[in-house]
Amino acid sequence: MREYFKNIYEAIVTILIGMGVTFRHLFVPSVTLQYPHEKLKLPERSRMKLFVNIDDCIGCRQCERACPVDCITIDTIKAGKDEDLGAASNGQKKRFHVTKFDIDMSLCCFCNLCTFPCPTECIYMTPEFDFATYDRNNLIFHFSNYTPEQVRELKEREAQQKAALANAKTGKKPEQK
Amino acid sequence: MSDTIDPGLRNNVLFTTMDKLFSWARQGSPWPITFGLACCAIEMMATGASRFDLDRLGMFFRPSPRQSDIMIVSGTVTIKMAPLLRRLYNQMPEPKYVISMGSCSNSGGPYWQYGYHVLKGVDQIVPVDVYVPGCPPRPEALIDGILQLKEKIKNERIFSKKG
Repeated sequence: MREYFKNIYEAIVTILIGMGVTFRHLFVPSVTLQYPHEKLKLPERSRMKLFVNIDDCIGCRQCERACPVDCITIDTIKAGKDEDLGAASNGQKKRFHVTKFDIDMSLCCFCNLCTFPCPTECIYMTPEFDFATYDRNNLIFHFSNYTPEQVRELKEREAQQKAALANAKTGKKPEQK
Repeated sequence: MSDTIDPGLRNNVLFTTMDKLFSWARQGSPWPITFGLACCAIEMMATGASRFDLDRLGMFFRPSPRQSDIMIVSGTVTIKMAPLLRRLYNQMPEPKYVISMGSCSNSGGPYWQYGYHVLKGVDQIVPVDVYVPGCPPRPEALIDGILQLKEKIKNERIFSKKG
């Protein structure tokens, strides 16, 4: 009989203890972040979407070489001798036309290794992270400013220069003999 | 037409199409299948927990593919796992949607060149609706992907398909 009432007493007391914990949590502010309506302010240097300030890019391809997954593809064409492409913001002279600067964010592993070798600090990661898409091709970001026509023109010019150089070489050979 | 309707009636009667009604009902609370493959699954769990709280969107993880509407492919899909993933997808009832979460399932990620054991993108075996980039994506990024998917379902045409 005593055991019986003791069990009832214990049941009530333990439930009250548990409900007390629950009751106290009524007055604790909620931890939930109402995501689409409020966003967490990420630190400035958080490693999310890559961004390239293409005006500062000198086409040295060091980021491409540093990338462990090869998600950066760069095409460059050498500038002509009398051509001045200006300089990057830290004074480095631009020697290449950066005709293609694609970053495939679907391959990127967000390691930030590409930003360290950049001599002009033009490639960096931004705190932007919500860029989900319906199509994977939308995750390839094109940063180059050159239009296809300009690229074709530059390529033609380069091919002509190479041909001229090759001609000059073969032309010189008979003279050397 | 709208001039002839009594203004009192116009404010109280709602007109819609079956298309809109069905797609609205479908986007309401898509239940994802509990299917974590790799480290992205940790972020998926965090998304389901109280800090980011998927229950706000009417979603909670179901332990069976028969009860779920969407599949969040969270992590590296190895070639060994691929047939099982496809089987789970086949077991899900229509309508079913797939969210590809993280670089590995988007396109193979770090394994896309030299990974002999990894599927180069989960879209090779199942049709993917939304790609969430990140390695792994933040829980907010996954929620963003889910909201994009909801938007896609909402604009879906079920009865009056174009073309």
